[in-house]
Amino acid sequence: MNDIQEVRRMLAPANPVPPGGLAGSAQDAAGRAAFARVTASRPAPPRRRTRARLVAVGGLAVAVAAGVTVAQNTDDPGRPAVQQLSGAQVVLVKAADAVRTRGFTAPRPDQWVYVETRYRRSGVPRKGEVRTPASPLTTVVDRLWTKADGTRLAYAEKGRLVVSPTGSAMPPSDYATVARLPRDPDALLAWARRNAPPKAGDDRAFGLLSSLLNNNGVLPPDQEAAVYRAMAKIPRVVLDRAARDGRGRPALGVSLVVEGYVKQEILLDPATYAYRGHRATIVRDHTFPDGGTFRKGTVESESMRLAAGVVDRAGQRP
Amino acid sequence: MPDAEHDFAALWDAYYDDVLAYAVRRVDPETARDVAAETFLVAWRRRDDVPADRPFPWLLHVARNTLANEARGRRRRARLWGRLRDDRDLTEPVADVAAGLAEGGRVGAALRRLPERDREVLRLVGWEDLDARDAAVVLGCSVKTFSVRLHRARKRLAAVLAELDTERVPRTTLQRSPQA
Repeated sequence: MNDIQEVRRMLAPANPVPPGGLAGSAQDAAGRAAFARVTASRPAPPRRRTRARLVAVGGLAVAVAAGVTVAQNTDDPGRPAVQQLSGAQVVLVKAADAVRTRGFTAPRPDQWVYVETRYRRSGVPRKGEVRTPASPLTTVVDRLWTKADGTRLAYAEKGRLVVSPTGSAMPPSDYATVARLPRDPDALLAWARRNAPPKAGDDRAFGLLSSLLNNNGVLPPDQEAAVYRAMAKIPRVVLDRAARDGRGRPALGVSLVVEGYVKQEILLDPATYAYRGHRATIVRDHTFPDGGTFRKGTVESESMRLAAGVVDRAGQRP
Repeated sequence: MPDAEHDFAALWDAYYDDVLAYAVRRVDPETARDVAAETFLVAWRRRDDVPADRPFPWLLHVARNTLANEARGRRRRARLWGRLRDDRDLTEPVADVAAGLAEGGRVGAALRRLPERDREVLRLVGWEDLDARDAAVVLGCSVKTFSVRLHRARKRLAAVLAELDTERVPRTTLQRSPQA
């Protein structure tokens, strides 16, 4: 007798979840939250190597901190890279300094960190689909409570608070784990590069640091300052003084073009240098191997931080 | 969105439900969500290792290891809190089995009497609908070894079912407390 067929026949009535019984779980609120957490953990490696450029990062950063404009070689003569690079670094250093001027009280382990973020996404173009700057964006507001000790995650689903255990994530998104990261910019950058996939290089280190800001509503000030200073050490990071945040308000955009077609940008408040959100914009037409296409100018995703703070219980707002 | 992220989104869409179902069949739903997320986190970090032609058994192999780690951790933290379905079921009164059961309960009871090794072999085929080739990937053994284990497990399942049937008659006549 065929064992396979016979075992299937015998076990089918005892199957606690019949085939297809959980269809749709990948896309429900919990599924989407899990997807966001997993993919925020570390961006994917590029298939193709992006252009490599050599910049004396260490020496440059020192010069910038001292307020000196530094000329460096660039292989892109059409771009005033010198101005932009130093501008980005000046803004990042100012953002790092501004962090320390804000009041801060670390959450107790039994408290929760709340972060409310509005995401707008174009969605991934499937085979035969084309996303253009005119394509509609889907808006989702995420309200997440993460217990400061890292043991629990809570979110609202259909008006009900769902509490689940936290999975490990890279970068970490709970206060206890984040607080253990290096606070020295060089050490933090080394950590980001180590946790980016091999060969992904600084494209991914920048993305990892950007996710660290986005996913954590509350960071120790030294930590947040180290993130900005580490970003300042990444070559090719540029400043856009005319950027707009998700609400259309003026913002400072600090960005890196990764894989040759996506601009990954963090958005900072122009007056206080506080973190406001992120945007990923397609800067060159791109077709995926399976046939989906992004047109230049399409916003792949953007986020805007609506609220963040420490509360005593999951479900509370700061 | 870089290509690899695009591929990962496709992997998620295609298999998350089934990976979650695999976990839900073995632990409580809350832990199962965790196990599924953990599995895809491994897939995300080891994207280059995910076989493009047959990702599902690879994912279940990871899920199985995650589940084992989870079980070890839980046992360490709180000696049989009863959250792992297998553990809880072992402590459930056998009276349920006797009380004129539907076929599913009867087979479920028989499964619980088998060693975990046999159970997983049977479940991968019976519940996850895998063939021997894919199930062997999940368990990390050869197809031949799997087929032998499946054959033996099926025979042991049949034996336990027969055993249960002989127990049924006297037990149903007894007045048993629910805790018995």
